[in-house]
Amino acid sequence: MDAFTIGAEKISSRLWLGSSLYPSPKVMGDAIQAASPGFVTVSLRRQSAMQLRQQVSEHGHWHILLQAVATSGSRLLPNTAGCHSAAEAVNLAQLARELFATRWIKLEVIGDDYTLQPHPLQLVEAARELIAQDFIVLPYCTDDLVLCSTLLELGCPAVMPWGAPIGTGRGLMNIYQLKTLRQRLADATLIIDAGIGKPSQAMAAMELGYDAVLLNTAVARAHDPVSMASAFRQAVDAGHMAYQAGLMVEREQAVASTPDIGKPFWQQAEVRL
Amino acid sequence: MTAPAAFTIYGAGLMGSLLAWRLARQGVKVTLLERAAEHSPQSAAWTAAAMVAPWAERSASTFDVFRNGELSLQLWPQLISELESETGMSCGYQCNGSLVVAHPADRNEMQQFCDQLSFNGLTPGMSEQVQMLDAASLRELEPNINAEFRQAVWLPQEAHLQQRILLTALWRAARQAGAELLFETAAEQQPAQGFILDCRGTGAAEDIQQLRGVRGEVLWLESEQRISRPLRLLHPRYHLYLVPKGESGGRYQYMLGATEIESDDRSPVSVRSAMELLSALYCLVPAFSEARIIAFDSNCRPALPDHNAAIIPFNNGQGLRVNGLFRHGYLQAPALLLTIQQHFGLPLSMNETYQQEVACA
Repeated sequence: MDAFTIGAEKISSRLWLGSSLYPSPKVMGDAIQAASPGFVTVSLRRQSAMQLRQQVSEHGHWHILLQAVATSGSRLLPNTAGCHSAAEAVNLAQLARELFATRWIKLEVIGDDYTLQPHPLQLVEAARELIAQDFIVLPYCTDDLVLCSTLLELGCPAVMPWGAPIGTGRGLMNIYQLKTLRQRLADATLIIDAGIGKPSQAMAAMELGYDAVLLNTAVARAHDPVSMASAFRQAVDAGHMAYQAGLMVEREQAVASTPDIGKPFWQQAEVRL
Repeated sequence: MTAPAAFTIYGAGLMGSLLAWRLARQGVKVTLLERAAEHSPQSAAWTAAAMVAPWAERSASTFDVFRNGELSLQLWPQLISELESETGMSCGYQCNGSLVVAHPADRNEMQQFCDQLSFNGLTPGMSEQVQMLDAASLRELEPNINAEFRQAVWLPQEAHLQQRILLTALWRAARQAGAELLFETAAEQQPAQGFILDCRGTGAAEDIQQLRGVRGEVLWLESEQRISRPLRLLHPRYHLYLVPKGESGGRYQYMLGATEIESDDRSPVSVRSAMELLSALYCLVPAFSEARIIAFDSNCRPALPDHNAAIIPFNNGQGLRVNGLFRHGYLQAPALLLTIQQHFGLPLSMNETYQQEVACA
């Protein structure tokens, strides 16, 4: 898989994975190996600072995660999942920076509990504050064009619009809008985050010219997460390669790919049965 | 191998207590060391809901765990009957099945659960062990369940028991058979004699690489309303179970659980977990809105990275560590006793015919 850069940093793969919901840490580790993701996100929600510190201890769940990330050549991307306000997200981001010694943060501020839709206003506020504090902020956002360009103007090196609500597996719900984003923000790094349920949907995102996809449930909840991780890797590779190769334009009328002229017997009537 | 004449067992959780009893009744010298006090046990087994549910847990477990569970279902009745006749106590072992339900709005969760079973060769409706129920049959089995639930997966061969009575009975039976039980005594406080069986669960983290604690939180409830068998609720964000825990004076007790949080944290139940568990309960059995909460409890399950149990030789062939039973202790313990007898020659008087049946099936 070809590498690309965000900010000044080289990212090794266009498939990014979440680390929740796997049947066991072993399966999670194997899936990460199979996918060789550019980033692996890790959630800090639901835990107090004391509990968080316990988890990076030698036997903790995150220790296993950190090992898998290191051996697969991936990078860790802490997120602020479960936050409902800018202040909460900023606090959690600071904690993540201290725990994992990284400036990278996937910024997530939820505005509606049922759809888990990002809160655009709180998101912008949190992004502004975190960038001022020297974080590298990758915001999970809706596919609103003005919101995405505002986040980019603030200094986010990439934005991560949703394909569909988190965990739904419904794929790219608004292709028109996602195409518009790609066209209007031609120079920006755009990553589809959330809603991807099948490798074909990840491939479709890459064919649209998106720079990467981030997903979790579709791999973690597969009957065989390791094989599914591998399938997504190949789909993302193929989609990106297809985008670079240049997709043909759809036509209204059929056009034979083999010319009739020069073909023997082309004038003969069809064989009747 | 010739069986050793003396055993030292670390930990009075489920595995340690079972081993102490099985060995002592064979006439060998047994010393059981437990860090906690007898009146306030700290083991995961004390906190657990004690279901023997290989099919309900299939999607959350490996094939090894599932196979151990099927085997344990065959082994528990004899163990219980021997234990009850030796102690005169009743452990509340009931093999009356369990039900898996989802709210109609979450039918996709039910679909995913059934798909997982099918993927593992256990398609609902295709065998005795895994059946589908319609609304009327569900109501017949459990009249108090939320009337909005229109279907259920019915697992008629699953069992559950009363873990606290069982553990107390195991200690009594082990003592009767001559075992010495030393509570409030950590492993390092006492020189080990003979063969060592290390069953300390999370307490063995220093000695077993990659062993970690996974926090679980449960509630104890009491109600006049009756639920006869374990119920499991599938929900997009959490899975919950409600397990009957006996009756006294016309009031039934239940356990409601359990969260699964990646943290080696034994602090009391959080507000958020209690709210999630209770709101899910209210949806599952609306009649429980007037149930009484009699206790909150939390503990840590010992887990290895692959979530399988492990039997690890140590002490130059004169010891075994048995650990990593995770959320499947009661599901796996009898099968592990059998494995220990067959592979390491310990005299546990387990009936070996069952293993063969499974192997032939």
